[in-house]
Amino acid sequence: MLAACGQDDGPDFCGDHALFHGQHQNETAELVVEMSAQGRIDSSVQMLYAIAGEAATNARLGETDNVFRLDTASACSDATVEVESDTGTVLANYASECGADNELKQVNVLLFDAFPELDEVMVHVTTPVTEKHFVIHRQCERAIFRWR
Amino acid sequence: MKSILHFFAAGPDAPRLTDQAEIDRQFHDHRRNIIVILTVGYGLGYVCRLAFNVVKKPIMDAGIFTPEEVGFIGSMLLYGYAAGKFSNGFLADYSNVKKFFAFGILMSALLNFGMSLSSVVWVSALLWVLNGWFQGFGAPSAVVAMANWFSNGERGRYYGIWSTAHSIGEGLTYLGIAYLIAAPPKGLGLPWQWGFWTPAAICVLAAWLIYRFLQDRPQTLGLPSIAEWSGDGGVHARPIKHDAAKIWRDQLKVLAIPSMWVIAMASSTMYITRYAVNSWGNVYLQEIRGFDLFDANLFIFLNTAAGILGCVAYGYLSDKLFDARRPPANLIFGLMELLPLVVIFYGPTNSFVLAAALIVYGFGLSGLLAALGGLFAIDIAPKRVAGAAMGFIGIFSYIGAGMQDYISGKLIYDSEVRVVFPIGENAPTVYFYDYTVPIMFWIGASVVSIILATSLWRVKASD
Repeated sequence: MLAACGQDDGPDFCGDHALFHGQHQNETAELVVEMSAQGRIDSSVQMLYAIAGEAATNARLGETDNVFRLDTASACSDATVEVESDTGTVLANYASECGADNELKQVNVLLFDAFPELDEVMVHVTTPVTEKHFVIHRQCERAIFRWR
Repeated sequence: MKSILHFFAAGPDAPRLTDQAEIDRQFHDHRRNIIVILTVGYGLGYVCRLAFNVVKKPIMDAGIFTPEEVGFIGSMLLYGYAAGKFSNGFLADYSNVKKFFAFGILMSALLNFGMSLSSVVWVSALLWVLNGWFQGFGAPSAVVAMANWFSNGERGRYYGIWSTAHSIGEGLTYLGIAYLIAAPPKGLGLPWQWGFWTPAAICVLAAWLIYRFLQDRPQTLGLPSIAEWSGDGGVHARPIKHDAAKIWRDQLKVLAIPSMWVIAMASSTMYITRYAVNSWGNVYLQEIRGFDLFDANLFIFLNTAAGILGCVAYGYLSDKLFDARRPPANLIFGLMELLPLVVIFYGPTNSFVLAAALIVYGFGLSGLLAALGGLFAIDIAPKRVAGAAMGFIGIFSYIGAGMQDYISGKLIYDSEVRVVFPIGENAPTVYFYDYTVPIMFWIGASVVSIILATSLWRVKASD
């Protein structure tokens, strides 16, 4: 996917990626996660059908287990899923109720397993006290922050 | 063992020079060199103490250590420093400080280099507690050197000049080292290991400068004592042998002064806040406020820079306005520390407000630091055992600081939420923390400190 990213391979691809990510960010899959103080977790994934094809994308994103797995002290409610299509793009929304006193320790994002074609994801995570924006790239061991 | 002690021991008196002009010239040259080298050398050496604070976040982000482990390792330096400052204070009195000080800084350099190679918690903790102990060679050596080369009547202002070394060290660390590690364009984006390699190189340079330019006692160069040369008689810096037993008894008496224990507890809780902001503040600003590493360290530098003025202002205000009574000044400076803390953590997120709050906080904190970290204790202790009083307060202060580092790290780690992206064998992970509970701990400690410091309202200086 995203030929622009593939052309960026260089001696320090991951170190330099923040410098040119902005040039192709409109073509990058996007993940938004919002955690509320009441224990609700709202998430969405937006990506181009060009990555894996319309049918496969809709099918994979329609199953929450393909996208997320939450590690919490006690079980959360089954996530609700809504998949909306637009021209060439899909938007999948997920919502889970985990409860205010339920300790969330880890969110596993399984997109790269579900989509072997996916090279990178732009991520926005908001917690009750902070927010972070970063890029995860298949070739890089660490998240990429502060892209331009 | 004997040969090691002999190597570090103060030299014997040299045959006395007779040419007064030559004596004056040597005093003039050596005193100039000594105050410069004490300030520059201590400032450069300070970088080896703070390096870990700057690389905490990159180390946590790289998944090498958790916040709890980072806190544990950080606390080790403070425990080592508490022990080092106390034990080395006694040793420095009998040492050739040019060798003693230089050796401590050189060992600190080696330990910083070792830290860059370690990804094992107990190894890093061991290296860092040793670093704390060797860092504890510095302050006693500097105090002994000042006692040897500057008379009673002038020591205060030279002590003030030397005190700026702390800000030199903090500035070099929070701006210089942060510049190396911070991502471009604000920094060079070098790997976190450079955060230890560079301080190590700086400390090797500092050790050489100290060894080259610092001097043993004036008498070892054939000069008279400073009291004799300056005509300013008074207590000699070195304990007199036949008084050793009495001094020891007086030192023990310090422990029997109830106010001393209150000051120790007040200092301990104040050090919790001081070191919380210095060691976790830049991590908080990056994690919660979203500043980059360089800007976060720049903000922390503002509070340390304001501290220079705070120290001077506290002394002047408490002496002139309150007739050398510390508690009223403690209350004023305590509130100047506490209120900005509330603004920093709960106030508007505007950068200018944050910067202003950190400056006022640093100003207020440094006043309290001057009082509770030593001045107030020396006021009420017998003057000839002021060193023991300082050591007693220092132990409590740095135990508080060390406990803070571990407790803060544990509280931060307990709030950790990981967002993990499994990709084959890799799993890039981004960590999220909630500082709500640690902040309550830091501000709570500040409140307790102010209450304790102000509770000694009627206590006056003795002697």
